[in-house]
This record gives sequence, C-alpha cells and structure tokens, in this order.
Amino acid sequence: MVAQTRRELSALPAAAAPSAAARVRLATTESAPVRWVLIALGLGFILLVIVLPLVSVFLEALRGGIGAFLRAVTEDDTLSAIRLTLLVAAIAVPLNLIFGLAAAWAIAKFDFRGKSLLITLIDLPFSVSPVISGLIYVLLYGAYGWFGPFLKEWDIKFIFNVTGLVLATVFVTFPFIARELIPLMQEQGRDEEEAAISLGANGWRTFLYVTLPNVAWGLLYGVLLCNARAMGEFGAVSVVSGHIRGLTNTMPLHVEILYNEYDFVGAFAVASLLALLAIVTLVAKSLLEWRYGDRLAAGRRH
Amino acid sequence: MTITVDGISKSFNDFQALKGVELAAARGEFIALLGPSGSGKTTLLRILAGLEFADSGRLLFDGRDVAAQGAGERNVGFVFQHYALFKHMTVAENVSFGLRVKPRAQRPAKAEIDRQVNELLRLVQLDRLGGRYPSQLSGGQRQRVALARALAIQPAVLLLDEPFGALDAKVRKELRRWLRRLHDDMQLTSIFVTHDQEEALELADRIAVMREGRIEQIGTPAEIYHRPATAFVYEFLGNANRLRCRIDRGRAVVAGLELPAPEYPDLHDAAGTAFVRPHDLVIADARQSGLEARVRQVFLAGPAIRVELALLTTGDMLEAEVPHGSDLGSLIVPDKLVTLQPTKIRAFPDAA
Amino acid sequence: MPAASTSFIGGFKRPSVLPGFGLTLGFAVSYLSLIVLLPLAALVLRPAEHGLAGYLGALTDPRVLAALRLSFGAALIAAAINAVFGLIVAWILVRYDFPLKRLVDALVDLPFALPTAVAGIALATIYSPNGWVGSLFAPLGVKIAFTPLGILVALTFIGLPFVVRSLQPVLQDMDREVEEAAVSLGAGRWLTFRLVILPAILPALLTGFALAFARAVGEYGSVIFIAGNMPMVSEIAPLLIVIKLEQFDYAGAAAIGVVMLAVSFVILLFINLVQRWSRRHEEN
Repeated sequence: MVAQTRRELSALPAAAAPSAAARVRLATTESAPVRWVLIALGLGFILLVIVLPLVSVFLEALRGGIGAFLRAVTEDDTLSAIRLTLLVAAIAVPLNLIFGLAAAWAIAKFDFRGKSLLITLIDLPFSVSPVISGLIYVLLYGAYGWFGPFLKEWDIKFIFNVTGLVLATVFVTFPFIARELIPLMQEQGRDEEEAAISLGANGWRTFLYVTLPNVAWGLLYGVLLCNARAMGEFGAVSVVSGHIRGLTNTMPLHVEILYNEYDFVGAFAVASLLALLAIVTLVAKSLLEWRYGDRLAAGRRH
Repeated sequence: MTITVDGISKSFNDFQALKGVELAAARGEFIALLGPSGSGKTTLLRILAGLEFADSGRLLFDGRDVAAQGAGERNVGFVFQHYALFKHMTVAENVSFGLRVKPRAQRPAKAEIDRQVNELLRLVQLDRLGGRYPSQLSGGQRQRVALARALAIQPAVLLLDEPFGALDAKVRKELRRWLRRLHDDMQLTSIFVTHDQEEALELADRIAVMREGRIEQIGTPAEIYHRPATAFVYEFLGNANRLRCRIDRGRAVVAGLELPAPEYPDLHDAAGTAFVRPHDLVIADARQSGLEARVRQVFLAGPAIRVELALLTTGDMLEAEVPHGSDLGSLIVPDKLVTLQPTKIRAFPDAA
Repeated sequence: MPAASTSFIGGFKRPSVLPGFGLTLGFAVSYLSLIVLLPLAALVLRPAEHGLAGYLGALTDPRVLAALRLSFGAALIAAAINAVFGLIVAWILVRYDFPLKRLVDALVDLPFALPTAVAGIALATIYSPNGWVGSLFAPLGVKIAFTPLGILVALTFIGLPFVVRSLQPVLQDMDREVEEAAVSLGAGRWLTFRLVILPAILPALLTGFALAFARAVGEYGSVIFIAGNMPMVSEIAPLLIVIKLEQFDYAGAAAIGVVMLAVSFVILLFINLVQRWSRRHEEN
C-alpha cells in the first residue's frame, strides 16, 4: 500500500515505470510534460465544474453558523418537505424494484420475439427531458388533460398532489433497476435456474435461493441509483407539484422556493442535505464497484 | 545488420526477466529464441525492438549503441504475436502505414507508396485483398499482412514474436517455409521467438535456448539437438526418457548396463541422469542383454509406432519408437517381456 | 444474448423449463404501458387536437424558436466541451497515475448523483459576479451566471460523466500492441493518437457526445438558477414548457415537448447506428 501510494505521487505511466538507465520513454506513453499538462487540464476541469460547486453547497449552508443551519433544517416546511421526499421515494423505489425484477426475469431467462424492442422501451425515460416527464402526466390528468374532466367529476386530484409526484418520480427513475439487472442476469445465463428446477425446486424458491443471491449486489447498486434520483428529482416533480408549501413540496422544490425568496442559508441548508445524500450514494456506489465489480453487470452503461 | 546483445538485464518489479543475456547475430542470420513461457524470450525481443528498455547492458546494431533510440528510430520490423493490425484500416492502408507516417521530407509520393504497397502485397500473395479489412481475412492472411506491414519500412532487422502461434498446424508449416525463403531473398537479419522446438529446428540458422532469463545454449539446430549442453536443453528439444544413473570415468551405468559417457572422463561414481530419445531405444527379445522391461501399451497410429514400457528394476515408464514395417511385431504386444538397448544416450551429473 | 436471432419455431417464445414467463412479462409490459407508453402517446397526440396549423403556429412563435435555438445550441457547445475535456479526464484516469485518482474517478459521477436543483444554486453562486469563479472573470467584463454562458456551465456540468464513462472502458480495453506497432513503424506519439487511437475510440466518443447532448437539451433544474431566464435571450425550451403550462397553454407546451421528444429519438437512433458502425470491424 505504501509502495502504491509512493508510485502514485509521480506522474508515471500506469503501465510500467521506465528504468533510470533508459533515457527513452516507452512507446505507448507520452513525454512527462505532456502528461503533466493533461493531468493539470483534467484535474482543473474537475475542480472547476464538480468540486467547487460541491464544496460551495456546504460552505454556503454554514455561512450563518451552525445555529442558523440547524434552524433552517428543522423548520416546519423543511421537515414536511423531507417527509414528503422520503414518502415519494419509499413508494417509487419499491415499485420500480418489482418492475425491474419482473422485466429482468422475463428478458434474461426467456427468448421471445420483440425482446430488443422491449429493452429499448425500458430505456426510454432516460432520454426524455424531466420537464416532459412531468408534462405528460399533466396532459393526462391535469385540469385540462384527457382524464381531467372525469377526475374532476369524481373529485380525484392526481396533479398538484402526492399521486402526481409519485407518478412523475416513477417515470424518471423507471429504468434504473431494470437496466442494472437485465445485463447482469443475461450474463449469468439460465443454467443454475434450470438445474434448480430439475432438482425439484419450484419457481419461487428457484428465484429466491438461486437467482436473487447471484444478482443481490447488482440489485443494491440499482436501488442506490434509483433512490438518489427519486429523492433528487426536480424538473418532473416541479411540473406536477403546484408548489404547495407543506403539502406538495419535496426537498429539491423547497430548495427552489427558499432560493427564490433570497433565503440563501435556508436553501443551501436543505441543499446540503441533498448533497450529503449524493455523497453517501457515490461512496456506497464506489465501494460496491471496488469490492463487487466482478459481480456487477460488465456491460453497464449510464 | 549485425546485432550484439551485451549483458542485458531487465526486471519488472520483483521479477527478473533477463539476467545478463549475451547474444550476437551476424548479418543475414535467422535466429530462434526458444524457451518455455516466462523464460524471457519475448522481453529480449521487445528490448531489441525498442518497445522495452534494459536496466543494464548494451545493445549494438552494426556496432552502434541504440539504447537511446526509440522504437520508431531503429528501423526494425516487428511482427506481433496477435498481429496487432489496425482494425479500422484496409489491408493496403495497414501496409502503407509506415510509409505514410514518415516525415514529409522522406515520405515517398503517393504513387510511389501505392507501387510499393502493391509490390509487398504481391510478395505476401495478397495482391487482390488490398481493399479488405483485417476482420475479413483468415488467420494466415492476417499474419502475412502483419509481415508486409513490417517489411514496408524496409527494415534491416525483422523481429517476430511467436509468428505462427495463432495458426493451425497446416497453415503453420506452409508459412514457415515461405518465411524462410522471404528472409533469404530479402537478405534480412531475423530473430524470432517460439516455444515450439520443431519450428526452431526447421527454420533457424541458430537457436538460442532460453531459461529463466538466461541463454542456456546457443548453436546450430544440429549442435543443439545432438549436443545439448544441459539436461534442460535436452529435454526441451524433444521427447526424452530419463534414467537415473551413476557416472563413472567416461561411462554411465544404468541398472547395471554400462553405456558410454565420454563427456565425463574424470568423474568418479557421481549420481546423474541419463537421457535417451524414444527412437534411440532398440527393442529386442528378452534373451538379449539390455534393460529388462515389460510392454504396457502400443500406439500404432502416427508416423512411427510408439511403445510404452515399464522398467522391471524400477518400474519407471519409458517410451520407444519403432518404425512401421519393422519385424518386431511379435515383441511389441502388451505384457511382453523384452530388453531395451539404448543406442545413444546423454548423461548429465546432478547439480552439486 | 444467446441465440436471439434463431427462429422461434412457430410461436412467440422459445420453450423453456423455467416458470413465470407469462406473469413477469405481463406485469412488465402492463407497467411499462401505463407509466411510459400511454403518457408519451398523450404528449404526441395532444398538439394534433389543434390541427397542424395550430401546431406549427405554436412552434413558429419567435419566443419558442429562440428558446429551441438556445437549448440546442448551448447543448451542442456543452457536449463539444465535454467531448474534449471528457476525453482528457478519461485518458488520465485510464493511463496515468496521480494522487487521489480513485477519488477523482468517483467524483466524475457526481452530476449523476447530485440533485439538479442543488447543482443549479451552487453553480449560480460560484459563477455569479461575486462568486469564487465569477469574480475572476468579472474584472474582464465577462459575466457568466445569468447569461447564456451560465447555461453552458450548467450543461457542461451535467454532461461530463456521459463522455467519461463512455470512453473509459474502451480506453481500458485498447490493445497496447496496436500502439506499439504504430510506433515501431515510425509513427510519433501524436500520429499514433490521430491515426490509430482516435479512430478506435471515435464511436465511444460520439456516443458520449450524443448522450451528453441529449441530456443537455432537456436539462432544467441545474440551468434555471444560473440562466437568468430572459425571454429571447436566456430562456431554455424546457422552461418555456413550464411557463406555458402555468398559463394553461397545454397545446403550446405539448408542441415544444414533441419537438424535444423527436430530437431525443433521433439521438437514440444515432447512438444505435454509431454502436452498430463501431462493430463493423469486429470479428463475428
């Protein structure tokens, strides 16, 4: 470990260190100045675009001191925003988890017509703007939507209501778990399941004792990403929420309201909670990748 | 071009790949680096090409030290084991690459490049396939593209890493002869790496047998085959039977049988191992003098009949080869008691 | 995917001893239809209610055109910036060793994990004229936040991981021998990069570029805080959809939405073509 760290301190090519005797560099790397310039450019870019914003969230949140921070995060509206965010995620994530498992089982363990079309459709929500993700539900269930008059007659509100928030969140987080599980279960093949069935296990037991342990880490990985997006989604829920304080205000929406009211400490305090969630997600995700990289889907795309 | 390797050593982290290697190749020579995997042969080849750099020692091309020259400046043609063809370029673009990347002042005109590429493609018998991509070629064709690409820069030295490793047996034989002719016609100095002793014996002017980062023996195929310097070389160059023996004043005594070992006139009753090739074991009926053995199995298919026997004294298994059509038919049946007479052995005393 | 191309003798599914096909596929398809397909159909059909003329009328409004132009233009430039810097970041992460490399590698994913609203207010703060970075540019007369430049910053932020994560595995898997072959044939490092490495990673670079572009076109949360949102100048298309919805102009909102959706599909198609094209030299 010590040797590793020492090696990393010099900008040597990752492949092999050229010996002191050789004045000529290896054929497949760049000269030291080029390497330094590229590293400086890359790290500078990361610093400017990613690190500074992240750091600023926490500094701005604590600008008024720890007392102001605590007051901001324990305010009634903030607390109800936190509760609502947790509630929405607690509904959306399990729904997509069940869908992901069902879709992955059907796609990975069977051959049928239209499979690749189905996979493409599952990925669809990723390529749709968050605003459109909210818009489509307003168009269906809003006051002037397709089902608007019908819903009004029965006094059911989908939009500007928790139901709308859940629907929009489910839509934007729809592919996360499925797209993690499908390639993973495809890689694992179906031999083990067929063996279990031939040994007399029923379908449910086969899934529980054979399939699930094999995909557990990938499943966790997908849930992690799904949850992060569910709690952090802004555009889609913004369109369907109606911004009713204490009622349809999730944490990201609350950040916006506070920011637009020039309550910067409040906005950044709530934002820092979300940033913390992002950091926890990244750490957990990195740990999963380092420790169980071989057990996660090789062909994973973001 | 002559190549002199003078005491070259190379380590990767804790692993010492080369330990003071000495080698000299004369102009026009075709040299094989033969050895098991991990013996350092590919590392040596890569150092010659400038793809790797030695920790110590000198490397001279025509007497000039080239240690300071990178791979691109040595004018060396390198053929990679898996060819390393440029996938997104056609065969002709692959072959012309070395010409197209020359500095403007030295770069031939486009028409001249085309002419040279066509000539090279004709030379490697791929004249119709210039427009194809590597993925559309067979293994043997890819190998020839790799060769043509290396030859395009008119190298004085051609280095080949396991040039036939990825090919099937039949293609391998054809390409081998063809490569040898090419080497002679173009007056190259060539060095190739192989772990296949048959390939080395057939193709090379001289063979350097490598083991654990050192050259164990260097010599012509005949020298290496008939006068192996060490037990390792003997065993690496073909099938060999091992027999425990005592070496005593120019003789090796195996299970009471005295055989000549003229290499060791001065050794007195030293423990050693005698090697004998399967085709140097003569099978005779049990009344003759020799090593008593029992026939275990007989394999009739193949270029010669292979007979597996167990020595009565020790139970050691031996292998003998008998040409088809010999009159030994009644002897080589399982469970038959026979005697074995080694016509030629090579004994080595145990290392102290 | 094993044997997906072989024929399904007569039926729709190949026989299997495993149970649960009907249940899982049925559930998956119903859920997909309800959550994704039906709402998207509503979007596509909505503008048609007002006829083609109404649809085109909604789109040819100068404010709408300006917003679309800004969204697509800024997304294109941001994706181009990411293509360059994303390549550099991916390159140093794969090829070089430097301190905190693993941390940097993990940080690349931050834009995926950080809620866009948080990114939005953070970027607006540090790139505003009195922010950490904005104050460096203010003396030069360059204003970043609350101008189209600010939009570029936000779109660059959210697009970076797409390029890096598309390139990383390809760079990792590149055959070093091919580079060595180029060098031994006399090509310098730059020529080797241009003639040998770049063509090999080009499909991944294009894919990352397209993904970053697609994401940037539709991005909302991180942009609206830093953009300034001046109609005709710094008002992005997704924001205009929200404004139209607030004015209950559903058809107008849907018209913009359909254009953006169409572009998303074109990009998806483009990525698929690039992927197929990139495999053309692979052995089958």
